[in-house]
Amino acid sequence: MTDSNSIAPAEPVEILLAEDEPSDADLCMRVLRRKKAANHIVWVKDGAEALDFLFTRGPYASRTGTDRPRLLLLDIKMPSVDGFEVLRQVRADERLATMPVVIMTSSSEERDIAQGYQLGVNSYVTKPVDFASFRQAVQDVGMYWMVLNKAPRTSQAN
Amino acid sequence: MLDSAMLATAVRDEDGRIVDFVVDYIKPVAEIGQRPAEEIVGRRFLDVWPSAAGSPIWGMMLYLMETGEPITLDNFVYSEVIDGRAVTAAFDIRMTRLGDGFLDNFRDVTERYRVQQDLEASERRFRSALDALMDPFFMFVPVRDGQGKIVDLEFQFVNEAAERLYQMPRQDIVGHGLLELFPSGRELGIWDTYLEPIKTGTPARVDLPYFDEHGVKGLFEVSLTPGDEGLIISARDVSEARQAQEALQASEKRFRSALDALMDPFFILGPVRDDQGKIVELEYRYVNRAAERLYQMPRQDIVGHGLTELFPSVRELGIWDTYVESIETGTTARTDSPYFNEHGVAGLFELSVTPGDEGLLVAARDVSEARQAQEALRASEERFRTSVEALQDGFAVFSAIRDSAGVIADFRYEYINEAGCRMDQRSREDTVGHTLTELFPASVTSGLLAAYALVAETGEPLTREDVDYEDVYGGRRVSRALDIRVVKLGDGIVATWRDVAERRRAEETMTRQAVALRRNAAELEDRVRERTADLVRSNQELASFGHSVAHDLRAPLRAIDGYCQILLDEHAAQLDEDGQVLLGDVGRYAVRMGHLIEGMLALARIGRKDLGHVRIDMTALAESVVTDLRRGHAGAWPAIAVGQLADASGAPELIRQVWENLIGNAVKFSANQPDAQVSVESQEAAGEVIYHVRDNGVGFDMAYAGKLFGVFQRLHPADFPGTGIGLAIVARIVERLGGRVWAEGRVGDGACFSFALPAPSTENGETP
Repeated sequence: MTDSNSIAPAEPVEILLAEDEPSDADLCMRVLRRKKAANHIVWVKDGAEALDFLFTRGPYASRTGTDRPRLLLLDIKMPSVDGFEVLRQVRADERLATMPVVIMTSSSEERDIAQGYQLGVNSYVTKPVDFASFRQAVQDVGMYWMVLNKAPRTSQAN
Repeated sequence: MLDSAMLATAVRDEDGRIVDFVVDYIKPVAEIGQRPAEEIVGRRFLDVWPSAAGSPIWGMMLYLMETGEPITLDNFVYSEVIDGRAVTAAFDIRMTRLGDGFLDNFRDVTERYRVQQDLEASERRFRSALDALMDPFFMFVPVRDGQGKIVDLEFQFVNEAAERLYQMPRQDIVGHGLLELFPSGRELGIWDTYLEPIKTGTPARVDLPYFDEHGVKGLFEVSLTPGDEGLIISARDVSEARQAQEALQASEKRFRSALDALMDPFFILGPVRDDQGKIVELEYRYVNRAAERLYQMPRQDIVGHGLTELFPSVRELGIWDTYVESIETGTTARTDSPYFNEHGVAGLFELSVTPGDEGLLVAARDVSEARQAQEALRASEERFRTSVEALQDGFAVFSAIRDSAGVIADFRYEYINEAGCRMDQRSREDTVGHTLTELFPASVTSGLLAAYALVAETGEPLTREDVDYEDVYGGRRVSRALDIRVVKLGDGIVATWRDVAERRRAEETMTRQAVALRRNAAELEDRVRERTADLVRSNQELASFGHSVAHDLRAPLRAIDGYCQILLDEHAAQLDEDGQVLLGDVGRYAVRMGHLIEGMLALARIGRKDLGHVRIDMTALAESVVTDLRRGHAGAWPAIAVGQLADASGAPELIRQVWENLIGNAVKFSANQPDAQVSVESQEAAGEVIYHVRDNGVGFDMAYAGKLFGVFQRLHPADFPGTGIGLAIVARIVERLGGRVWAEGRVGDGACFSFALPAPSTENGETP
């Protein structure tokens, strides 16, 4: 179901998708790709891997592309490191601080939403259980952040 | 009357002879030296009153101690030199033996004694005055025979001059008849002369010669005065008469002055008799100043007037009888009498009534205060006695029994109260007068006797708690636990005791029970704590399990729906029409299951939500819900009328869910009706606000009304979409907010869903 989990991408990563649920990740990538919202999507299975990717360490130490992704789609409830911790470290890092991060989660808990925004998330989207709504949500997020929105390429550029 | 008391204990020598007494207690209201009690108590009797040693009272006291015969002395006159000053006082004394000592109740009667002395002195002076007269003076009473005929005149009194005249000693004259002594009197005409005034009642004055065997002794001017009882005769020697009269007047004046000087009222009453000799009135002959003060009348308004004339009530009071009896019998009397004035009782008087030559001499003494004090004393003693009897504790008074060496050998019960008898299981008669060792032999070996003796000797009170005590009485071995308190009283002790066995048993039982109870309570608490922790843990586990299950189920359901959809979108060509429909159904059922899970999560969330207590504008909230529903709604839309709703209090996000579900249901179940209408109203009732959501939709069968609010209960599964959890959420929220929810409806005739919430308090209300 996956075809884009390349360890050393040739072109710049446009979206980093941190999602522990393979079906959600697959559906998400299918929608994004079908709508041509992004060409190069990297999927990591948990928070630890996301951090390894973003800080080019562990399996991603030899990653050549040092540019940050244009968008981080982040699940909250993941094994090892959860989404909030990833977000905290991202916002604490000078290079990654201004990277747009969108939380996509099943949780609609008030507490989680509040915490996400306190940690500096750019958007908080709950995943609807029916695919039609899910597809609409993912399309909207992709179109908005990848097409409509203008974000700084790097922190330095800001 | 005896307002003073003294308790004394004998002091004995080696041979047991009484050498003195030690004063244990005195209430010296009337002690001769007027000394305070602390100067006397603890001292020896003869140190305090040395003169007693040489006085008859000492002998009487020894006799009392020997025989127990009480001493009663009235007007006991006692002199003592105190602080170099001779003091004399008179006492009424009642002395009784008490233990190895005596109780002396006494009263100072010095004043009464002085009045008597004064009266006697004045009478003596009166007689002396008569004696001092140079002229013979004598008094007769008639001696009558059976017919009342006077047969002789008996000499009642003769003065010295008369003695000289008759040349006989007084005792040979008084009591004898005139004719008996002087038979010639009848012939000489003296008899008739003397009888005449008695018969007529008028005084007479005659000149009579006096003869003896030597011839005429002289001529006397004889004054004959008939008295009530006889005849008073003074034979006056003319030459010496004036002088004698002056002497008499002087004497009487002195007598009157003395009486006037008295502080106590004094008066003389003369009897007034009727024809039969019966006393019909007592006439005031004399009143002293004190009596004037008492009667609040001047002397001249009293003297010459009758007693019953001035005080008609005396007859009822019995005083009259006392007076009359005193006159008729010639005996002194003493009586108490209240004195009334127009304001009521002015005082209580002790009257000393003495018949005299002049009439009835009455000395009154105001004893109101003394009497009141005595009454108070008696009342106090009664209170004390009643209190002691009312005690639940045993109470007994013991007197010390000393051996010849003066060492306390035993104690004698002088008094025991009812509780004491009950505890000792022995009657008062079997106790009082008996000794401690006699009734409780073990008191010797147990040291109780020694401890009591120490109290009596040192005056140091004894308090012992939980004394275990075993003894044999009534032939039974009895074991007791006592609280005992003993204090010294005189030469003896007062003991109070309490049987504590019962209390101790109760305490032990209570302690045992308390320990067991505490242990049980602790165990119970532990168990409750454990169970609570278990419950909390399992609740938490359940909640997080449910949450994660719900969470984890959603992704696969989304995947099923998603892949079905993708199949239909991208691979429709490979499926026939039936396959496409089936695939669509798979997706829909997956979505439906997702909604059920969402509902369960929502329901679970209600329990965890904080209940706000803000004031909610329900009109605005309901309208906003209608707007939101309208926005997300496709299809027919009913006419919705939201009325003016009363404010509520609670968590707005929770109540919003209530409106969403109720209005959403109303829309859902009425939308397909022609002319669909939904109305939202409220009404305020006692302490609550009730909201109604009414529709004219399909309604429901009231038989199922009870199932409406259950989880996953659906009345219209086939025709209307829904998870069956909305009304369960409504019920859960309303109940959590302290309200209630109910529904009314009829099939095909609409439904009305209502919920009631506690009315918001007016003062802390706050509009969100």
